[in-house]
Amino acid sequence: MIKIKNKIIISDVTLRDGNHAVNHSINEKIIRNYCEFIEETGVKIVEVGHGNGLGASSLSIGRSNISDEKALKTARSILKKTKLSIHSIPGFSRIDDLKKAIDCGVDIFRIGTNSTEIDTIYSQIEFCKKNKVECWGVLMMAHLVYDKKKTYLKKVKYLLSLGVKTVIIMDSAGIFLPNDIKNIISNIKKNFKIRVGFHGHNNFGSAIWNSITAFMCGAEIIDVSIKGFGAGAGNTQMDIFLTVLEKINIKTNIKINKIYEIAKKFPKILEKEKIKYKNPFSEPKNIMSANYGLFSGFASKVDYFSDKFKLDDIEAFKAIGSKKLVAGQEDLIFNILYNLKKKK
Amino acid sequence: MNNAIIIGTGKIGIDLYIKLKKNNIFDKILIFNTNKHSEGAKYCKKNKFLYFDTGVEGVQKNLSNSNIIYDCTSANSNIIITKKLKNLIKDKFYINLTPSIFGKYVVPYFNQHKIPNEVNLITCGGQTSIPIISLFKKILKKNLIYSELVSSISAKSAGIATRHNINEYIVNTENAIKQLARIKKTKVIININPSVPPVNMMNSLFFELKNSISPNIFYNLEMELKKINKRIKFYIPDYNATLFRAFDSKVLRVTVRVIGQGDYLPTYAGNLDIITSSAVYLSKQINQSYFNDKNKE
Repeated sequence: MIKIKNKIIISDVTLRDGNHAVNHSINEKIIRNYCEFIEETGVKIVEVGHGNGLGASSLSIGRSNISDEKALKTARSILKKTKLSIHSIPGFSRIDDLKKAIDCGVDIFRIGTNSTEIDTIYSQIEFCKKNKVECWGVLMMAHLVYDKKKTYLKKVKYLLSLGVKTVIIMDSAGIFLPNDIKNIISNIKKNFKIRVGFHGHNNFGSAIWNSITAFMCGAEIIDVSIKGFGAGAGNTQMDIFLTVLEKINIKTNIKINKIYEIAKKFPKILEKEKIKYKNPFSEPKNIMSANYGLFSGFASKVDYFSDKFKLDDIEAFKAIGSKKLVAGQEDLIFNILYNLKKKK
Repeated sequence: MNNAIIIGTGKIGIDLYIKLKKNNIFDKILIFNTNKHSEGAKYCKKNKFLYFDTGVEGVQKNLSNSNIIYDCTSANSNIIITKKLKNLIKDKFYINLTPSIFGKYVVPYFNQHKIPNEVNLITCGGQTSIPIISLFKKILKKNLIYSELVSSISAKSAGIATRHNINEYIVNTENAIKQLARIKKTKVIININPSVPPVNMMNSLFFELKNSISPNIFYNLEMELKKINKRIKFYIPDYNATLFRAFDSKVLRVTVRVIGQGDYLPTYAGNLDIITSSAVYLSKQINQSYFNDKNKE
């Protein structure tokens, strides 16, 4: 492990990844309430939007409660010290959506897609550069490029060639263990001059230690969410993560008591808006999902359809796992489970 | 002499070359690009295609014997090329297979009487879905308030132009759906799937209704959809659309699977096939009317 001289940037994805956990029903009031709290804590970045990011509100993935513009404008009106970021996957989002986001005053554009197809973000990165807004590259489903050939280094090199200065390693499936993270982050840092961030999911219960390891190996940006509120088994739990950092003497300048306060209030904020809150937890189906390297965001769709088709959820995840679906192919969950039901 | 010109040696250009050759529509097919070291150029040379690395300048010199020009480059190149060729192609057919906005939208399924000189073949998603969306709009009328298309294609079938033109792909497909199917609200999503072995091209269509429909209308849609499957087969042999009742009574879903003919890329690349097959079918129609006109003279 390298000597820690870098500062840690905490990026809060509760209002984006957390949308997966409540079928994209986060509304204006919740955004306003949450942002008001977070603004007081010293958290550097807040990400807002549909679970699959900009322009992803749809029948196949799930409709957002409010438009991207409304969500971003609401957050913008409150966040002063905290920066506002968005997640954007070309194929869901269009250049027009980026234009709108710029008009809404978004500070950071995190453009990403399944790591293997990262060259599809080319035109959105070019657009951001032309408009002089800060853009990062996000390697989603990073396990798809974590292999013996170290394909992830090629992908980082490609991002660098586009002029991207920050890359986020996204463990969308929640499949990584601390040792994998150590390999990935330290190899990237060894080979390239690029700022690195890490986004964890907790399917294997290792989101906290993956995030700590990422930081120890040179990652400067860590994505977290309040109470771990996020897709599938949830994300790196902010309240735990900050406490652990303190315990190992890493300074963040974040008012941790305020964070505990939000963690306690958060379920009530949702319930007040008639949104059913459930603590993120890695159920057997989520463990299975990670084991197959599936996108964490599939969980709510699989729940819905396995319930409707009266299928066992673990069996459902197995069937989807064998088809190797990637993030964005939520539409095919219906077909796979339909066929599974028919076979019975 | 009745020659054809293909510009671009990407996956679409080469697949189109093979299909045109197979169909024996032209005396000669000339294929152009600007980089003789590209993968496509190597393939062309190896297979003894009439290949030239002289780009648009080369095309300009060979226009006299060619009635149809196929643009299989990228959305950006299309803008540059059409600017350069503008005055030279007025009496010819220019078929745009890139997702740029150049040309009039054409879906060969509708069997147009008059084929415009500047044809825009939209996108693979557009060619696959527009016959169905139009049909549903015709039957459901104002009860249909929104349509959504999700295309999944295999990573191996998506060339560099496709990857850089994701935005053009979406915008062009949405515009064409709005225009040809006369629907106001529509959304297009595209996914590239890296699975090995590669997945077949799949399209999911979602239709949102104002009011749920009677079993009779559902049956009617099902029957009409079967007719599309049958009718489209004369230029896309393996096209299969199926209607499902979603669990939400105000949503209908249609799944369309297109299996390619395996000319250049294997059969999973139905997305390539649907657009090149559309171009071939259109070429036959153009040639027919061209010769019919000649006979009349």
